[in-house]
Amino acid sequence: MRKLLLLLLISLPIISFAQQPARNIVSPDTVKPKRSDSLLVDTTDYWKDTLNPIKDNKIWRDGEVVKPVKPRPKKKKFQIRFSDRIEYAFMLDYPLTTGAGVETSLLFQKKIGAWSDSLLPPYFGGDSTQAQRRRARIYRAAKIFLIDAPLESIIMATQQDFFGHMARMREFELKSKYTFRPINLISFWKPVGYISFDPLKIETEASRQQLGQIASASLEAGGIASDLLAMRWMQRKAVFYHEALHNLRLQLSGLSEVLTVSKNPQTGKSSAEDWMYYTNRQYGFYSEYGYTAGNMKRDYAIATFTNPNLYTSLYSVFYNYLINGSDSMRTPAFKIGYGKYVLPWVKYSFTPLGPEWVPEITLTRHRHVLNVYGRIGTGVFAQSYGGGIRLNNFLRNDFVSLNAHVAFWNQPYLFKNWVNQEILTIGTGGAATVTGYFKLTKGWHFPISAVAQLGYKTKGFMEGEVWQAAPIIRVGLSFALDKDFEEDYNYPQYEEIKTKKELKKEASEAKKKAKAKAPTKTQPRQNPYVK
Amino acid sequence: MRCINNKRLFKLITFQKFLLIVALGFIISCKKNIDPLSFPEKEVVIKELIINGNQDEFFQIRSFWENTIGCDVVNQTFNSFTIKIGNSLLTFKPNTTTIARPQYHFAILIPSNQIENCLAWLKNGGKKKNGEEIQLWRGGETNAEIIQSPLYNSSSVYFADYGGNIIELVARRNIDNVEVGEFSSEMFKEINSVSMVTKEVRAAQDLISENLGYKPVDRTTSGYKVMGNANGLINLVVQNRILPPTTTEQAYPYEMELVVQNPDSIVVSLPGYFVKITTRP
Repeated sequence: MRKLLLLLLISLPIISFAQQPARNIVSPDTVKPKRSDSLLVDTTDYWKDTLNPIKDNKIWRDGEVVKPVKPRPKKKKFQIRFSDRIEYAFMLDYPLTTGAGVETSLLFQKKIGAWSDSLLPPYFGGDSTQAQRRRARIYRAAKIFLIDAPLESIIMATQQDFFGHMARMREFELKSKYTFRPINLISFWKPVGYISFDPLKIETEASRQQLGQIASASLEAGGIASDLLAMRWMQRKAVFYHEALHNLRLQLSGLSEVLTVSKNPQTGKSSAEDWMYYTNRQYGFYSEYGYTAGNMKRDYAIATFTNPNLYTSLYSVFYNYLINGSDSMRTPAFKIGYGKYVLPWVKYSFTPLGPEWVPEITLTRHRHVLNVYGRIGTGVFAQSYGGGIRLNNFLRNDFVSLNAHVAFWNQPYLFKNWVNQEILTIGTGGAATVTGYFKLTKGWHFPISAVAQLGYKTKGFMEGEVWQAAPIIRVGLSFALDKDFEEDYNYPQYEEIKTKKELKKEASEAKKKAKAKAPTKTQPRQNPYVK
Repeated sequence: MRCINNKRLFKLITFQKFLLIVALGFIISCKKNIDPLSFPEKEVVIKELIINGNQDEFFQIRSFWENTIGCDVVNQTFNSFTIKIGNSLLTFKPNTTTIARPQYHFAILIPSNQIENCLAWLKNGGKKKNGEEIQLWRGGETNAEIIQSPLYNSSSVYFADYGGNIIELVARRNIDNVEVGEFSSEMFKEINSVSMVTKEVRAAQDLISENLGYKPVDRTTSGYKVMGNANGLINLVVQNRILPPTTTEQAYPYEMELVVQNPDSIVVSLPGYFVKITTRP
């Protein structure tokens, strides 16, 4: 741990350097809004009577009184503030959990991607002629498959093995020796994370459910990373190529892992197969599985292929980056208002209580994000359900920005040990966390924040957290690495927006005032110029 | 200073209260006590279980218990036989009623770490090891082979003997009886629990409590009352209740005698038919 901290301190200036994007980031927030709100009125047609008691009223030359035209409500112009930038956090907790680990791994993923792009930019020698563009596409294809995809494999292996399998092994305090599968750098579609241990030894140390949890920890880490990326895309409303590639790598790895599960799953082949083998055994299915390989393939394929983020990743990597040479694109989402977007998706979760469907919906209002999700257990092994709400950047100013997460669940039991068969009775439980990013520097190049995540969870399974009831305490440093805000603040400032209600209220108040000021009996004034 | 609009405030408070009541109702409806049962101190020490079997199938039943399961026959008469199951005895008598095939449920205790080996042993044909699976009763709802009961802190495998009885091999986690080695019928510890079918569970419970001093386990229902503790149990089952883990087999008060350890000689006949408990020191 000390070495890790020392390494972080040494590498702080390198990590915290914000990324210079290859081109302007394509996001609705970074596009300067058009000014089309000014009201053009031809003043030659009317004249304003200074003696008119109601000032705004205009009187035509023929004496007709015209009420003023209501100005259209002004659209809110959004400026990306310094505090709105997406935070890439290096988080530490004890024992190191998957939740904190995945967050940290995405910081390094971002940084490695930025270095890769600074060394080998997405285009070279211009892209004005057809020949240049053709050459650049070949170069980018080579970069994707020879450099970026292997790099993503290494990052993913760290994410899934170190922060996935090992985090769960540490949590369950298992002593058996284990080895990891070497990373296959060329086959970018193959799964990377896999822990192998001596089943005869380890089966006496842990319950079947715990072994299933250790096995599926890589898929759990992948699910968390995928969700985090999707929420960042919604918050930023722009997708970066490297993130898209990482998400694509995660999805491909999960798919190839699940789709290659054999009809009669046995231990020692892949994470999904191990999870299936041990979870079935925990719940007493031996010769015929309660949840078969066919069921899992069907469910996982449904969840993956209906997830819009998969197609976003594919489009971003193979069309936007490879063909067009652009390293960012707008996040495809349903627009429901100015700066308001919504995107739903469904996730398949490998839990120790059996498979769960996780339908999620993410709403963004500029850079505030609301993510609501449900957890619906399939009930093949144990009956479970739950849900939660995540709020990102719900409160921010120049010094701090806050995220919050509230979750609840209802689960029956978790089995802690096989030999003594200790159980953990759960019932209804919940968790609540608040994450604060406290700005340490306001520099454009070195945007560093201190991050603290505080909360509490009751006993029960929750993605990325320990099984036991425990306080959630995570601290670290965070870096806003996206250069997606304007340094010189030339972008239009926030303009005060008035709701229809407020406008109505103002109008009625103005009327009241006018009435109060106006003389009780007013003679209709003759226009001297009209005969 | 702007004064507070009382009407609005009242509305706000009532709405918040309504939300709070809904939330509380939701939490209460979700909450149910799923903690493992706490058992009373006094256990039921089962010395012998005397049940009926179809006389035409006597030879096959005996052969099943002796050759397939591997239990020793300790006593044999013209029309009955007794087999040894750990520290308990199981006696089969000819059926005296008009019912052709009586069906009972009882559980045999096995070491707490041997449930998986036990299943493998049953699937491999028991003592015969001929690969022919002994007929298993699976979990009705899930179709699982090993049925976990966190409420009782146990894991069970159910199989059918030749007479169609529901025999449960139960590994109780809160009993320290770990044994290492290949599973066989020698690892059977004792008859751990017996389902006794009666018309009136409450009356039967009172009778047993008064005469034998066994206490009922809390949170068991009035149709299925458990008496004793994990080391020895009596399950009082109301007539026509479905016997777990099956979904079809109904409990019926077939003739049965349960001999339990007690210094005094007592006979307790349960309300209904021919179900009784006797004692032996």
